[in-house]
Amino acid sequence: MIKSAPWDHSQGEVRRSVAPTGGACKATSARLKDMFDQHYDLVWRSLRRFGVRTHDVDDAAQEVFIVAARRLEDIEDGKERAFLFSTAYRVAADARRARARRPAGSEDALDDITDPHPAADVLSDRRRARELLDQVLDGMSDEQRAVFVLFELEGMTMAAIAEDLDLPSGTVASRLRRAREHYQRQVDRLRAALVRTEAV
Amino acid sequence: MTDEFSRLIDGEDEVSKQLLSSSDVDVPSDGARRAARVAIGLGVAAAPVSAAAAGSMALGTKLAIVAALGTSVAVGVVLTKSPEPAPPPAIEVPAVEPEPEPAEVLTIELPETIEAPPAVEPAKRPAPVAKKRPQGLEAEVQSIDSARAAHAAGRHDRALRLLSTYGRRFPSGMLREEADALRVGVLRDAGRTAEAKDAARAFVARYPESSHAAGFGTLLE
Repeated sequence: MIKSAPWDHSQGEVRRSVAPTGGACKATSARLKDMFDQHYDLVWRSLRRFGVRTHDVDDAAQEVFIVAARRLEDIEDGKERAFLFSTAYRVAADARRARARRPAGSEDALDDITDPHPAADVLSDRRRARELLDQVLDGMSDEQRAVFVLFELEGMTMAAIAEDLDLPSGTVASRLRRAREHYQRQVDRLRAALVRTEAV
Repeated sequence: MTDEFSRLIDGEDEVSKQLLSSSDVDVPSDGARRAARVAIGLGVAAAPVSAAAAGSMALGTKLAIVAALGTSVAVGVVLTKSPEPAPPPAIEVPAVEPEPEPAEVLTIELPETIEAPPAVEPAKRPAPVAKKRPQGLEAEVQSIDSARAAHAAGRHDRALRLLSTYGRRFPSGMLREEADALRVGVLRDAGRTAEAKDAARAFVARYPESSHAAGFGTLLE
């Protein structure tokens, strides 16, 4: 399924076929396939955690790889993941801005309706916790959020994050520190709310 | 990293554990993967079954969090109160967790601003007993076992997170080699082949005599 993402302002051009043609493109196609096979899930997860809502993530991930396919020759060997991350970061930022411009409540009720896991009770708890995580992460700046997600949720090292996001290691460390401070405040706030509720 | 933050991320804090573990559901569907392949001209390939999606997703928890927490506001919290205490965590995660007992759900509206919790009378609310944190090798074993259990359950993100935490808590840990070997396996099983190969090569460079390398198979080719 290819459908227009809400933040896509150049559908006609971007959505055209990006399949390489001709024998000379076989290597290109193989490289794109390798990128896709190795990084699609990572890109999808990152988009989701960078703030793209569930029902937009499939399209956003497509968008990232369409950009990669069109710019494959510009991507330096060994920098494929870094390119995908930087593209995902921009796509997610666009999505967040687009969402901010839309009327409140126009979409979020549709989130997660396609979750495939069958246990209703568990799903309910997990989904609600996931919604809450979204809101905690939404309180971070885009820059802090990206570093926090890659370090704490994706398990990447600070050195790898610095390389993939093309940032000095000191910048990664300072963004991570601020993001953790925000996270810790939110968890403390939530814990306080739970204590108050238990005491009622 | 402060010790307090370490406890949050280690999973000893129930609220933080709920929040971070909830991101394990971030898995693309096979349909989305196939559609994206077509969109970039790669055609349709047999989509692998996502290990994360196939893994146990049971939360096994007594605490459910529901809140519309804006930038500074928590609006509501739902607590699920079970008649029985939670079972102790098992080192080996079963494939299927037993159904929890029917729970009583309490829904409580909170004010828009969360303030410090009110003072609680000691007679009604006993002081919480400080949970003793394991130290030394025991703590290392516990950390590795948790990561291994997450890996066995197909919860690769959580396993990697726990291994990262282990590395931060025990930079010169006695089980570092086991942790690094486990990380290779988790990355491989998560389909992150390129990262798994990098990690495998780094592992062999760091532990040239390790028997773990024999299990890396084609990653070292």
